Amino acid sequence: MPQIELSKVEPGMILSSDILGPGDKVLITAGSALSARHIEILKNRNIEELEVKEPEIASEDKKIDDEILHTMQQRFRENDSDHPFVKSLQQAWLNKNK
Amino acid sequence: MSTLNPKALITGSVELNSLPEIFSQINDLIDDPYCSVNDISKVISTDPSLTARLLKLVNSPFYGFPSEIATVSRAIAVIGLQELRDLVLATSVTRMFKGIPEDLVDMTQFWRQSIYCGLVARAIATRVNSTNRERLFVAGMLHKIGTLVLYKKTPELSREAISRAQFNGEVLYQAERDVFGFDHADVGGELIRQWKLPESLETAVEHHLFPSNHGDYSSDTAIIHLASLVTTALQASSEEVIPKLDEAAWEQANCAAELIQSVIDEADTQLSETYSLIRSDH
Repeated sequence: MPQIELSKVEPGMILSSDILGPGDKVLITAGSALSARHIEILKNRNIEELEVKEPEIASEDKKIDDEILHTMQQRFRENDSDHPFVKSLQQAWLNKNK
Repeated sequence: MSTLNPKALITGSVELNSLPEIFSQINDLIDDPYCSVNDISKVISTDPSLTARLLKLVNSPFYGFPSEIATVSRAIAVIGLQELRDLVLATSVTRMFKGIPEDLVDMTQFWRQSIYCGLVARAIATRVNSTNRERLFVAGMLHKIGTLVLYKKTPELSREAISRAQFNGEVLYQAERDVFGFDHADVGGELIRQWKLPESLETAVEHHLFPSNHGDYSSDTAIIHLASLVTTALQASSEEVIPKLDEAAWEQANCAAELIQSVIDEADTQLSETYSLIRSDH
């Protein structure tokens, strides 16, 4: 679970452990999607870091990206990827396949 | 390796060794100095479906003429005889090659890809100020026609070449060379020679894979080379390996890399309409 600074937290991120207030009272429970209001409250309480979940959708995207890149490398493997024509063609291929 | 050769494949076949009769008639008339536009219009008018296709084409955005062209003789006056010949050729040739087993090739896909290649070639030609735009469209359309001869005449060996390319991850022409001892470009060139079409079409088709290996430094062939790579990359099946770029051809074509995306956008936009214009009764 990545620990991240409050200044880098964005609305929509999922909290992965409870945030406790005074007297160990739970302020926000694990699994909540943080709203802009939440972030403001945390700022007022001088909380500097919190734990959020790895964004799942993004990691799914990355897996697809890897597969797409692999396919592209296979299909273009006779060609030099640094050549300007090949580069333009690969970009066009990515636009169609992403 | 087989003992086949491209010439034997074609000359042994009545069906392949000549173009449709109407095309030959028009071709002969165009070459006849005593023949008038009227004579040619008359011949075309004997074929109502050809007449309809021609008029649809010259009235489409493919040409973008400002006013309606209602007669064949007017069409000839506007586009010229040479281009008329190329158009009749383009629409006639897509009606040949009937009866190829469907597992080998989907003819709709084949002609879509071929027309796409023609459109890419034409779009490049526009950007490098080539005067051969329509000729390049036809050359692009015909660049892979040799594969149809192979499918038609030697379906079993063609199947072997296709699966070799798929399973070994080979470039298609390499798999063809392994199986036949030659490739579809050799066959395509031979076919166009047998059909007695203009030499610039023949060499562009025959040399499109590696123009400079044939000592062919014409810009037409170079443009077809680039267009065929774009087509394989963007229109062919998702596994097909893209042939190697011929550096000398790239330089010869003299098309800035930054223009490639606009070439592709143009071809993408025109594909469906041009396809239905050229193969309208399919």
